[in-house]
Amino acid sequence: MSEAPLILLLEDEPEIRRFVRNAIEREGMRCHEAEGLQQGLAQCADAPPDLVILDLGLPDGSGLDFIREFRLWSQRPVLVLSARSAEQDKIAALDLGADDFLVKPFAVGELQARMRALLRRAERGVADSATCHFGDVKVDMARHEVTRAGLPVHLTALEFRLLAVLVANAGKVMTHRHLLREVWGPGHAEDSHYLRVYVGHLRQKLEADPALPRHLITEIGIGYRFVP
Amino acid sequence: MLVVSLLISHLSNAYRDKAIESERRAGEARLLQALAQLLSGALTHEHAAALIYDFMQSRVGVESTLFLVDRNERLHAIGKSAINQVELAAAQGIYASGVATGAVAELHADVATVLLPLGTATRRRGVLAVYVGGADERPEQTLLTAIAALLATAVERIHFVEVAQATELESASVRLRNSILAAISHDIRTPLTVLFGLADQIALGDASSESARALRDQAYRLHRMVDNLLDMARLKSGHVSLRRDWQAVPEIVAASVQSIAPVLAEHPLHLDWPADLPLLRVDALLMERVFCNLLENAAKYSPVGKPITVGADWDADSVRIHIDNAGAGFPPDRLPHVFGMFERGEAESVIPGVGMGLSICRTIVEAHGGSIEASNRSGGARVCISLPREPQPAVPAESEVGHV
Repeated sequence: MSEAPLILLLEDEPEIRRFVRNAIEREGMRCHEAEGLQQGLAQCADAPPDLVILDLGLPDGSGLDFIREFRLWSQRPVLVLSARSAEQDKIAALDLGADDFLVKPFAVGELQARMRALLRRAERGVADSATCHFGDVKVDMARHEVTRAGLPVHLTALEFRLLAVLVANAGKVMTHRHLLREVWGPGHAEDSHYLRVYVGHLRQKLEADPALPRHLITEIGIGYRFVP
Repeated sequence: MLVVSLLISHLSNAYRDKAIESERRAGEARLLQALAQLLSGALTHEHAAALIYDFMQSRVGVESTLFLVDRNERLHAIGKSAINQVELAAAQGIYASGVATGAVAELHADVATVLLPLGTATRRRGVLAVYVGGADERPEQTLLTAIAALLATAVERIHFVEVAQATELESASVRLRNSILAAISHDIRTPLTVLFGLADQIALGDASSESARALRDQAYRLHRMVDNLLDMARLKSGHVSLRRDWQAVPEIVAASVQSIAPVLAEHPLHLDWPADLPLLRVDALLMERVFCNLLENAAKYSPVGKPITVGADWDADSVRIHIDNAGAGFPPDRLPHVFGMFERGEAESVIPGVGMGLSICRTIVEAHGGSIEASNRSGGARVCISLPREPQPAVPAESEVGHV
């Protein structure tokens, strides 16, 4: 990318806009601001953003509408800001195509790290490498082989499939429904106990401390996220 | 001689009449004394009515009806179902006329009725209707007015008992609200004061990163406090609908640890999960709040560097999770009250935070049909949560599951 990334910030609170803009510009990125749905869409038409930061708590409830509209023509990453307790809103946003969320109040450093990770993922595109390394684990996606500290680890077919989906979406929050549909099929979207058991198995096999995982992270009430 | 005997006879008659009169008055006085004593035991208007009806019937030989006034200045008969509308209208008229005591009105209905206003120095309270026509011997007017006066005093006393009770209830709830406000006001004011001071310092040019860090930490503390307050308000408002789903306790605890990492930074954490700990059908977000509060509490009340241990055990009926710290333990006399609202081990806020964390834990755990207990062990405090274990959902063995 020749130019600095362009971030669209959709936020109605001026004070929040101010410090988020500040954080964006300190990263050497450019920032366009919008206060609501219409303004946001107009900005997109003028200058398509490389990443959107969207406050789900927009007064007219139009945060989800924006994602729907945006996803009609763009696959660029969307990071939503929301309150802790609004987990249904977050799930809806993620299911509509948002990539990640931050709970308010959030640390500036965290915001910048998430933006960077999302932009990196977007640049890498679909041509992911066939192998993935995390901790002392190496995953060969093509050969369906997993080793840990050089020694082979046996994963069942479903365990591997679950790991593969998470790894393929590294850094992104995967909702329970999405994971269940991808791994077990559309009829299993409500069987969250499958996830508890299978993620538990993966952690036992692959995490240094399964009780405090560093790679297979729980986003409580929402889903899971793989962090390499 | 005749004159003397006539005189003596007249005098004796006069004395006899006086003696009879004294006797009658003494009888009246005893009657009134008995009535006063009876009425002093009445705590409700209904009770007073029952007492007066009985008294009038048995001691004075007449039926009666007690009318008392409501908030809208309308009279109502107490303890009587069938009311003569003419009588009610007349009573209302007497009441409205503003006459308080003493005067009496006569109603010439089927039964000759006397209407006695009931009032005291402060205000009128109602009317007593006495059906004198039904008596063998019509009671003396003075007796009736004296009875009315006693009854009025009793009614007034009862009125003030009710006012006092209502005031007591209201004041208990006002006291609770005030103590909540006071606790919030005090506990929130501290980080707010610090926040303002630090920010002011920075605004005036002293922009050290140390001040900024301190500012951020205070804001974080305030944020946690507000979270607790909001959760508590929501829970107490009765609008808790649990979003139950199958959850793994170790996962919820890990999420809590993630969430309050800065608070736990200075305490080594030991997580001791048994293999095959059953899944629980709980509200993940609420249980995460429980563990955040318990871990934060464990950290708050134990010296830096001391470990916090989380473990669990289970049987067919329940799953129990305990959190232990290595601190001074709960003050023994406060142990039964530890989960009450605004409970704090130490009276003064050396350790910051509104004492609501544990109370919220109890509310959430109990909403799940579980229980929570605090105890002291050698070397520290323990909080133990017990949640009911349900039959585990089936996870099909792999060869059975269909592929996409």
